[in-house]
Amino acid sequence: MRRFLILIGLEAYAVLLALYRGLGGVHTDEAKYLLDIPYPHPPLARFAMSLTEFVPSQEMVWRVIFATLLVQSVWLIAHMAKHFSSEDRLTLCGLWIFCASVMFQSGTVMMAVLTALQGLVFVWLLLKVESGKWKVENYLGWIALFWLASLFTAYQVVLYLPIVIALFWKAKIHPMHKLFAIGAPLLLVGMYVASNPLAAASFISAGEQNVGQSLLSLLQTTLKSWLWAGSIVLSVVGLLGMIKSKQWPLLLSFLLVFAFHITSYRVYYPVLFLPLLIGGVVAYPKVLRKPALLLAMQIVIAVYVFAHTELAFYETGARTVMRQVNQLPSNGVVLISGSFGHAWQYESRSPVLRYRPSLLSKAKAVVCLEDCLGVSAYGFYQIENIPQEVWIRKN
Amino acid sequence: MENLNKNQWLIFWITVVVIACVLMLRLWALKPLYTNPEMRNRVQTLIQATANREGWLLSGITIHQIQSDTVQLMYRSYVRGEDQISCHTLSLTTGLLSLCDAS
Repeated sequence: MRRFLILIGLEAYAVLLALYRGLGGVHTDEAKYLLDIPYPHPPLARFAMSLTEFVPSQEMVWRVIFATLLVQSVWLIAHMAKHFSSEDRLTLCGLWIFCASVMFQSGTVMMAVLTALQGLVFVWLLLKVESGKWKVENYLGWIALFWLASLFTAYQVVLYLPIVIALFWKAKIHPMHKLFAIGAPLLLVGMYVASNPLAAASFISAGEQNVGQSLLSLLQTTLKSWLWAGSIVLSVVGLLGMIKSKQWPLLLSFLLVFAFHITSYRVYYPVLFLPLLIGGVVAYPKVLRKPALLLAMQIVIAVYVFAHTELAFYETGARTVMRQVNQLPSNGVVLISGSFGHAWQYESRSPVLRYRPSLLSKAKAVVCLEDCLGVSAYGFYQIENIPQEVWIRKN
Repeated sequence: MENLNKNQWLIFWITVVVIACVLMLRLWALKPLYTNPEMRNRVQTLIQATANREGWLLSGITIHQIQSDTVQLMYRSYVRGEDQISCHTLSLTTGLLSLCDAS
């Protein structure tokens, strides 16, 4: 009964986090996955998401699923810490629940959340093998398949490669077999990139986005990201645990995630630190000295972070505009001038094209995020009381 | 379940081979992009010019096949629900775009 109540309590927390993230509407990267737009990530997860396009609240369904997965992972963490005292175990679970990255990223429909969860599974497997009570050889085929599936969910899982190598390294199978089990999925994902020029191009552009910034500023951003990921307390004790336990696979993965932040920082990447920080604490539980104090600090910091976060209670311009455009009885495309994200496609029921005056004959509506030269002279009228400049075809 | 466990490596290798075959076919269709730098530059320039003219989003374009003087493109308008997909042939010599069934 107690477990059932905890489960329900955690689920309520997950749904609240999902609802909070859903307040502002769909963001461009989320729309890309929900619509299965084929870049930059491989298709496994985004294809599954696109199968639910017919569901009226598709976006919210996936927010709740992602939040549930991340929050309910606490059961896996409790299992990893089953040799801890009950106070330490409770503290570790609390550190997870009150991490800024769990609170703010769990309700996002982003691949980084899935990658972090996959990372947590690899960390769990590694520490299970290290405990010596589990024969990894009996499950290596499944682990190889999980590695393949993880790579075809999102490329960033390659940051956990040192953990995967360590898992296979300890197994008593032929070295060539190990090499192929790790290398074949990597080769396949390389082939996928080569067969999808748009993915390759977006890779290059992601790698170049931080080029203009100084190394000091990039280091500051990355350090903030690591501290934010674990609400400071888990960030510090997790890293200390990794160092003191000399868990080289975890440390190498940590360095890879750190380097990845420096080269390609995005606000949704901090969660990638999380499984490694948990692994650090599980590998060296002595870092949880004064556990009650640590958990109390974590909760205070989490509340502080939440209180200082801008809460967006307004919907995106894309949703407001497209709600009106979708109600129009006429057929035709929607033209948008200026720079716009995939969220506009997600909210639209009609094909979206970039604004070109030569396409006005096909359009039922024109959204002007920048100047729309020629639209007023082409039989369109502007609608009012809407945040963007929107023109509708006269019937 | 025990049977599945026994065949876990077989399942893994079959999955790898199937994915490899699908990707090889796709790479084979794109082979000129990788073997001929001049062709690669021409295709890139023409696709960007076409997308610019037609108002297409680059994320909706897929190269289906490349021949010596034409490229077959699929354009997909991603929206909630059923997407509109159209097939086009782009001439590499004239830059003209035509529907696949019209060429």
